[in-house]
Amino acid sequence: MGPIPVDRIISISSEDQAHKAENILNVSDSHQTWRCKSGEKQATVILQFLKPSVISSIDVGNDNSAFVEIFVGKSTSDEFQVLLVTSSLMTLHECKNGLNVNKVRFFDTDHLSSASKESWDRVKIVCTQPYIKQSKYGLSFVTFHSKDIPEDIPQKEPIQSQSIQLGSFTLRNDDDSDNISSVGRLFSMRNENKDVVRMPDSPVNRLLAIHKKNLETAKLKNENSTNINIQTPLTNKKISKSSKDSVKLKNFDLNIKKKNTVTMEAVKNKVTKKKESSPSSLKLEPSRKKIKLIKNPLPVTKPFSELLNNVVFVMSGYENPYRSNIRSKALEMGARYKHNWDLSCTHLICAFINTPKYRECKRQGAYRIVKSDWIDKCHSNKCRFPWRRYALDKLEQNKPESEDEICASTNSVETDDSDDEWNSTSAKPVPSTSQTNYSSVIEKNTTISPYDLDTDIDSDLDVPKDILADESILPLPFLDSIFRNCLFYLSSSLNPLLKQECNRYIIALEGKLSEKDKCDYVVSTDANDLQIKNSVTPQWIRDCYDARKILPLK
Amino acid sequence: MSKRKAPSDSTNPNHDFCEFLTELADYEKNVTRNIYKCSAYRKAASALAKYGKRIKSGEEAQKLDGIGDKISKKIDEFLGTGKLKKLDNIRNDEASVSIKELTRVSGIGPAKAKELYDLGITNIDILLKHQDKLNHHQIIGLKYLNDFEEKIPRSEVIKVEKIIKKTLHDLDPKYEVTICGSFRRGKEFSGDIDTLISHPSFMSHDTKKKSNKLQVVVDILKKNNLITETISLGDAKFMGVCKVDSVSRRLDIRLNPYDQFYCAVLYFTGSDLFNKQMRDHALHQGFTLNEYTLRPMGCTGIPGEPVEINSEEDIFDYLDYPYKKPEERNI
Repeated sequence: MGPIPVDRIISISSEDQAHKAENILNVSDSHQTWRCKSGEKQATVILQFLKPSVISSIDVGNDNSAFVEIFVGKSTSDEFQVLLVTSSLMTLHECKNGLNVNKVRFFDTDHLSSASKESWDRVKIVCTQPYIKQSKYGLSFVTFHSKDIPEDIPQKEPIQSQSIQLGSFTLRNDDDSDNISSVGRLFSMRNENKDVVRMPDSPVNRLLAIHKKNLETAKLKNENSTNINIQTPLTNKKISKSSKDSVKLKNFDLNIKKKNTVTMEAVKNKVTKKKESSPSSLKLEPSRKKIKLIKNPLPVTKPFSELLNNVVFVMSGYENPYRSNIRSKALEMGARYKHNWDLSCTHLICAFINTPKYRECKRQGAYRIVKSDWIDKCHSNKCRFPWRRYALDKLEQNKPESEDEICASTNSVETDDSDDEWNSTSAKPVPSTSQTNYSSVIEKNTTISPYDLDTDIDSDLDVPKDILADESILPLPFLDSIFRNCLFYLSSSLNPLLKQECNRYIIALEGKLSEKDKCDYVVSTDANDLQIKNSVTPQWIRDCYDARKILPLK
Repeated sequence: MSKRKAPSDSTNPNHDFCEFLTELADYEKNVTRNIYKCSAYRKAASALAKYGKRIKSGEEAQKLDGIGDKISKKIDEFLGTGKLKKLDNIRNDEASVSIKELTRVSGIGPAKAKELYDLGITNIDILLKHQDKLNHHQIIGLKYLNDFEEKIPRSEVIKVEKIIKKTLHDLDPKYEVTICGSFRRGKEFSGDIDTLISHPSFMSHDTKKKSNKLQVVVDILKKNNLITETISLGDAKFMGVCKVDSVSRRLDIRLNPYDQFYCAVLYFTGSDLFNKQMRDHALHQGFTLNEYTLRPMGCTGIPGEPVEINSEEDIFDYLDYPYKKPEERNI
């Protein structure tokens, strides 16, 4: 199955100067849309396919139209038949209130008339908007899919090319992931820069770093680290047994010296985790070989079949067989699939924005929305890449990555999404997330993190005991005193978790806390506070840490 | 249209015209089975009833919507002679008298009445001896013939409504219950009790799945001694008999998919003439409306996908039709 290539636009009823009809053929940019001139009774566009095709499904991205109707025809005749009966793109309520003007709808074979059995080379799309007078309306994109071009996508073709086949789905190959085709390369690059491995920017790591700073580092034994890896998850499993899926995640990275090679091992405490990896899996042979070949320091690893095992995902906008292909890859890596979005879900694998599931997901305040490339790349590279690289929203893509790569390996160490992912949502609510959703995310954090209570809250030294026991193995992490001589005020509007996190960042970076009127920076998420000149968001603090300098205020 | 429509208001200044027009309408429906003539008479009767003052001539009546040359002549004839020749003929016609009598029975329509008449069954007494010719519905109709012909006072419908609502809400508070028909339009008397129920978990796309919800509801109402007889019971529609006071009443309960509930409520609230107007208006607005859905018409006249309806007002809104309260739909 693949999109049917469109040769050209034959005719249009009208188009707005700024919203040309050719925009509907461009799926990747949802901001470029086709709109008719103001006051048209209906807006029509006729497309010509490169060759006659059987249409099996249609994706429609709306731009202010109430209804869409699609006809098919042949270039040999002027007659058109209904393929898709008039279907709603917006409800009356949405029309009257200007809500959800860019919804995306998928119409599969069940929606289409019997004309979908034949092949056609022309389509006529008719949009109407009887409820907003004098409006300009149209579509942002339309894609027709066909089952009958198998030669383009043989089943066994490499995944990369399949994702290219879906090009009209906004599937772009991320260049960076290609660099990582050799496992562990990214880590080795990091390690070249510094003696010390870059710490993932989780507050706990930072905490760990502070902690380490105060302690003399001693020699370490590899056995020790292995012990940690096995013990910690087990202990945590007990702690967390009662709690639900979506709970705060922890991530500790420990740097371990091993025969002149810096090995980075991360111990993950993840409450969602049900099973711990057993350190051998035949599947992983190739990846192990690969690692040996490269002779790079080993990155964080875990068995291939458990790479994604805290991931509960939902898919939207992909069609079979590609859909099932992606799904089975994710399942192979230990992820769990759900039909519909619910609170236990962690990731939405989504072809484009504004699909019904996308909206549901956003509505519930979730933000881990990725393109299928993520699964593809993770699978083919046997490495779990941070999801943000594959985020569907460009906004998310630009945020700092909050998790490290995990490579498939027989060494049973794993890392995972770190809690600052949760925190970064709290800190930086996605614009489309409503305030209530936002607070529910926070609430989720506060209420269902038993783990948090155990470790995070009591003191600076709240690293899990089994790690502390082995603190001798920890080398010094890298910390700049970028906030030295800076006074911060933490707004009372911050939620407690966030406040605590900021507090730690500031202390770790040698900043000080002070009163509101004496401070250099006000840390707040509140819109009112943010209007104050020297106000910053928690994200700014994290960004400063990442950049290792004080960034300019926005 | 039910044969047990509540009687027209006898205080109406044009009451006598309405009556003979209605009688002609019934004749056209039951005997000649010409539904268009029937509608024409009913529309005329409705227009006269709404007129508000006594009609003095056919010419005056002809100005009203729905009254043309023929009916205005009939009005003139009635004004002049006090009777109508056509009506007298009908009243004297044995077949039409018999058919009219037989169609009093619930479940016997014009076709069945004609069939019975051809078999020599000309009145109810003879029919009582030939119950083997009747189906279950018609037997019950005959059994409760007198009860069913009695109009149901509003207060009694309210009692039934309370019982049904309480029973269903005890079962599951998410049930929606609406008694439609003339009761909902605020009339003092009703012909039968037309109840619509729905539940959010029951949507049109899963009607394929067997739902025993209606079965469950009917069983409980039977246990509560509200339902006394079942005429028919399917997945979506129950027809039967209920009794709260001394008289047995016709009770229908329909289980509608939640997404089609308001279209059904609108439809079963009527009046049927109002529905006709509304559907007409819908067509003008490029929609098609029925008891299930409201669908936009495509530019080649093919009905589209049903639009989402969450209230009766939504339907009016989509059609850009000023909202009419149920009491304002008595046309």
